[in-house]
Amino acid sequence: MPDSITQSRSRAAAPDIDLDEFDRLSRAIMGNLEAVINGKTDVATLSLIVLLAEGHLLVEDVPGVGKTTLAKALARSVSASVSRIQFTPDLLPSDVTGVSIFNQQANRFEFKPGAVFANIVIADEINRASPKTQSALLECMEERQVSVDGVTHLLETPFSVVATQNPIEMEGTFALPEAQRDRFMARISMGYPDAEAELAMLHNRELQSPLDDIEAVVDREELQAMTRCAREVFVSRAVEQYVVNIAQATRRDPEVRLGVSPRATLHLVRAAKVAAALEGRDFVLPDDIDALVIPVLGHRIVPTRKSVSDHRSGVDAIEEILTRIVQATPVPLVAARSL
Amino acid sequence: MTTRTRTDRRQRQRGSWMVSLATLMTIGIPLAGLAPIIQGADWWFAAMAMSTACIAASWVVRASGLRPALGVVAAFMVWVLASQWFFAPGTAIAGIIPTPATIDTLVAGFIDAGGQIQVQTIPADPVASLIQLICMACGLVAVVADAAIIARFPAFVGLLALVLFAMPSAVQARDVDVVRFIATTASFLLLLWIAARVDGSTRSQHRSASRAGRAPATALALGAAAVACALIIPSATPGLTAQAFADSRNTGSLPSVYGAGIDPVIQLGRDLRRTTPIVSLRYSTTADKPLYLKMVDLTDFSTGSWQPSENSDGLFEQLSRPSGLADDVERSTVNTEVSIEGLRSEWLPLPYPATTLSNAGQGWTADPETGVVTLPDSRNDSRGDDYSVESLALTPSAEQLASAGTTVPTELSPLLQLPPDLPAIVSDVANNVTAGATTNYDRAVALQSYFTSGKFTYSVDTPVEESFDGSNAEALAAFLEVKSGYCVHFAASMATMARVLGIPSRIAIGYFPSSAASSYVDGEPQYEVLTDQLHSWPELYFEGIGWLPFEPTPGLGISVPAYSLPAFAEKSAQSEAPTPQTSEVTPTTQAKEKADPTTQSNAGETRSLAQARGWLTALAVAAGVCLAGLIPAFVRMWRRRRLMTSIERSGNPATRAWWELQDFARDFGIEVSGGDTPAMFAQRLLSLRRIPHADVESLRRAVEQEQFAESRGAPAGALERAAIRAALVSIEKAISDEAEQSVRRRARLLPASLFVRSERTS
Repeated sequence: MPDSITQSRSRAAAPDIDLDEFDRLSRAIMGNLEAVINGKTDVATLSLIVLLAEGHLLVEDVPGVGKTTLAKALARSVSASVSRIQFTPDLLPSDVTGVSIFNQQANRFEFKPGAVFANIVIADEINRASPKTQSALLECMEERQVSVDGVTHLLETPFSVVATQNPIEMEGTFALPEAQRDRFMARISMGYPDAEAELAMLHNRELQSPLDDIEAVVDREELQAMTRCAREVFVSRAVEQYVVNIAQATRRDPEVRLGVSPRATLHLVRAAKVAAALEGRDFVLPDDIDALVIPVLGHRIVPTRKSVSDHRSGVDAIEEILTRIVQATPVPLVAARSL
Repeated sequence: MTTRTRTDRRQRQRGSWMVSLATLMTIGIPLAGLAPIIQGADWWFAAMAMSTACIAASWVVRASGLRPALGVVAAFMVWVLASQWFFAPGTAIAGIIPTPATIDTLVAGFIDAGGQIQVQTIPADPVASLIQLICMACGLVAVVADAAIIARFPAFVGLLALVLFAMPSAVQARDVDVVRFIATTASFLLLLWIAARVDGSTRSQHRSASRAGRAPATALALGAAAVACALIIPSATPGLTAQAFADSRNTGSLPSVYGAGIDPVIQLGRDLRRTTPIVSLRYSTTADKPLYLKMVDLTDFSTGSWQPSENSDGLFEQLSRPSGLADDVERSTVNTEVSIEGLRSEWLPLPYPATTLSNAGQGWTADPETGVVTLPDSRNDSRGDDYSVESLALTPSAEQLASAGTTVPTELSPLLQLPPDLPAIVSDVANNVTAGATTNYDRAVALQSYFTSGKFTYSVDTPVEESFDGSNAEALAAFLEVKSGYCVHFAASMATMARVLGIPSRIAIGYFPSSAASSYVDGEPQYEVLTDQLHSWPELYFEGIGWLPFEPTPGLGISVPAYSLPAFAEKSAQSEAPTPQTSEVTPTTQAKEKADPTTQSNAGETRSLAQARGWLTALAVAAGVCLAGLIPAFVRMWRRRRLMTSIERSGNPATRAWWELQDFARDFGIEVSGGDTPAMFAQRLLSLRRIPHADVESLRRAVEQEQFAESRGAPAGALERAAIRAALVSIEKAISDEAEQSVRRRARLLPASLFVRSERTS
């Protein structure tokens, strides 16, 4: 506990690094990410935003487009502990959280930490595991602690889960329930690389994997300093109001069966802060919010069946709805009455 | 949420009372235009009280949160209750439930009001039944207007206002009251404005924008319609309409258009008061000077009011010999080609005495006594007719006139009839004026010179102001007292006095001669006859010569007939003198000018004054329309000024500049959406070709900094403000430069930004 008090005091003081330093470090990480996933800057940026906003990332796409590579590159770029869990139907919750084993020599139970005890956890193909195992991970994500046999084990900070999943229409998967999707800050879709990027990839990877070249450019302390720096970004009342208006609009919209949660609003603002900091700005613009609405809110709303059937896919329907809501929500410009 | 709903509701309520007030104004202002027609102002207050009660009831219902449609019901109920309480008291059960007796009483009131309208002169005395009619009609207009507002169709109120506005003009043939017109238009625009805003605050932005965008167009269209109606309705009936006489002949009662037919002769006065004369007809003639053109004679004065004769026997489709004309009177034949333009009449204007009429179509009949040619009922509208007429120009000698003496043929005795209650002043004056004259001719000349000697003034307004308009016996007495009137009074007075003195007389109605030819075709003069040349003059009968026109009306610049001047008459007294006198117009006219210079100059002044007034009115109307049309431009200028000033002073200079920029862009048709962030709007501007990128970017950054960044405490300095202003001005200039001329003009005159509800919060 004294530790956390010290931490919060230092957080209240000026951030350890300024925006220039933040910019330098973030560029270094971005360089690493772009080296492994050719031509996907926005995906790389978004994954960095989620990491710096202390959120969890859900990467969703068909197999073989580089989901795991991205997650690995992110983890290796920061010299933080990384663990990887390949989710399979027979994976047990204890494989994730850890297990207490009786040590006969010491004559007591010892806790063997599971895969979540790392700074960055790559949960590969999370929708292949049984719901029981999924929820064990998702609980850790929210609580940032593990309780085994009545003992609570805190997880280290930073702690970020990068989960990948195949689209739910693929065979042999268990779709994440709405409530659990809500715990991810953002969902991104990798998408296929364009022809040029795919060609470059073929050429580059013939000899060795680009992942091997990746070196850590940011250590744990620097990562935490970056996180603190992003938290200091200013959010005006107008922007807060704007976010709330958008959130409320999703709850009122006739084409939406389930609107976004208050947690979503929180995530949206946090992510926007990092996005502003990445652009070297110390305040959030409505444009930051607009850019993040689809990745941050998209996986949380449930469109009506009619709305889905009107579109090619559920994702299209959601993007269309959110775009419409963002356009219709006025951007508040406030001025004092006095002339 | 709750606070917002409450604010919304409060705003709507405030909006709705403002709408109600504007509705009342839009009814009340044009209604005041009836003031010249009805005496006093009590009727206006009564009608407005009724309207206010109806609209207020509706507002109370809406303000208390009930359904708006119930407001209409409440307004209607108040109208019914107020009507029965004030105009049918004691007939309703418990004062609330109307009974058949209530309806009977109200209907009786309406019938009485109809009668009052027929018999009363202008301005009418506001008797109870008239007040009932005005109040109930006005109250109903208020109910309908209120319903239109509730149905979100405020433009309809403009139509009601238009009807109210055009009514006085239609009834009284007055020119458009410019002040009232501008006030009506302004209050109507205000109403549209408020209604659009109130409407907008309850709708989503996009829909309100598209709806409100139509409002100015509707307003302008209705405004234009109002001007057109107000200008056209009075001028659509130029000249003497036959309807007034026809009705009085057929039914024996006076025609009943409100105010238009109280006395047919008043129509003539109304035409004379018209300040924008139009062309009634054109003619060319072989005569050496312009002609009097007669349409009809008023011969019957036995009832106390000059009326046309009811002679319907012995009428044929040919002109007979002029009655009483002896062969030895010197004459020449005159050919005249007439083409009728704006005149709508069942009588053809002809020079007197006409002998042959050709090309006038079928079925016309001529009165052998008066020479009046009447068109058949099948075509009682003379507009577009062309015909040729052959007439005589008579030049009776002084001897012939003198020798007529005082003898009158017995068959003309009806033309000596006088009403039994003729005021004494008429015969007194007649006898005094002609005290020294011995023959009928000398008396006639004396009478005419009495009127033209400067004692009397020509005025088309005095009779109306003094309430003696018309040609009945009382009006004549009043005219002789006041000594001011127009042709009807002069002609009727002289004709009546002639009868008093034993000279058969009648009143001709037609057009007086034009002062100059408007053009020449093959050396033949072409004359234009305008509506304000409508005239009446007496015709007197002399034995051996027949009917001769006289001209007692001063101040019109008409060259009077030579024989009617005292100089001519004196020669008749010296008839033994050897010089045979042929009446030359030129010297006598000169003599007249010497004798009475004031008359001539007065005439010129009156005409030029009337003309000037006409032009001024037209100018003022045009200016008023322009001003009303410029209202949006002024409002926009005012808003811009306010925002520009606030750039200098307010705590948010960049935001104010941004708002002004958005308004400006809207005016120029650039899309501005409330959902835009400053960056998006900036992006849209940057897609224009000649826009200064640096200015847009710096202004955008300033707005973002001001709106979304943490405040640094210190307000913007003068330098920053100047930079913001400079950037704004340069961007606006670029937008304006890039736009086409038509877009620029529209942006200035009909700024679109005025009709969009903004999302700005202060």
